[in-house]
Amino acid sequence: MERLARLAPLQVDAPVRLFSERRLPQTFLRIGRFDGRVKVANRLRRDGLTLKAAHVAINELAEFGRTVCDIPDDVDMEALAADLLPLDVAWRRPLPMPEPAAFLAEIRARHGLTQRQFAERLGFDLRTLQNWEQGRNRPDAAVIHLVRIFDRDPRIIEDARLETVG
Amino acid sequence: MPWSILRSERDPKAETLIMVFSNGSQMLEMVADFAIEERVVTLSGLHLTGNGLNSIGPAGLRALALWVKKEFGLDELRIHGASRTTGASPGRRPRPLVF
Repeated sequence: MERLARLAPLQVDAPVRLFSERRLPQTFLRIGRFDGRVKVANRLRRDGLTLKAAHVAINELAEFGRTVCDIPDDVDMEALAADLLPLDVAWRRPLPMPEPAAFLAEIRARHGLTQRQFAERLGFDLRTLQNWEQGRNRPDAAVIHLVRIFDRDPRIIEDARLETVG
Repeated sequence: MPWSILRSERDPKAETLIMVFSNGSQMLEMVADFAIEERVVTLSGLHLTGNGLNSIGPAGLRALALWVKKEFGLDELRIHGASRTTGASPGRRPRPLVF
């Protein structure tokens, strides 16, 4: 059993530095052969992931082609992404959140819709939409994502909300 | 030159293991979840990274597994590999290996 104990010594390197406790979900995609999996795990560990979390990440990249890791918010994501890219892993950076009032008005205008028509097409309450566009209330991030999908292809939203009868 | 272990480390909270092996000409890094039962070790979700493409084939893996088994006095070493991304049948999880 002494020899067995050597197989898994509890030998945890001192952290390179202390990280922020606040973490943000970051999405990574496998974009190639992904031969250097252990190197990817080691690189993620350098930026605050536990060995277990890094192992889960490379398992998901191998099996599903994507993974979401909780990365400390003080990590230099550009540097991490630059190191992962040669290892066939790409970072999917979150799109910046727009100022909601101007964003909603701009998308609505681009599609030539009145507030009522826009609210109906997206399934919003008209008064709620008016409050967002006037800046009285702020929509949450899911609304912004929904409007972005509508902007790309309005039929997707319509097909998700309505069905043809007959 | 026989294999040797350059580094071995495990997660303090979970049973995940990372090891670096060398035989002089070749260096291999391995990460896997592990479980020990009596003198049987099971490695799950095993990933191996070598010096380059095809740096360790089935024969090399067998030689390394047999060395690990002997080095640590194991009765059995079971390996459940992670999904393949290269080589034969990418996307397929290889069948478990028992040494």
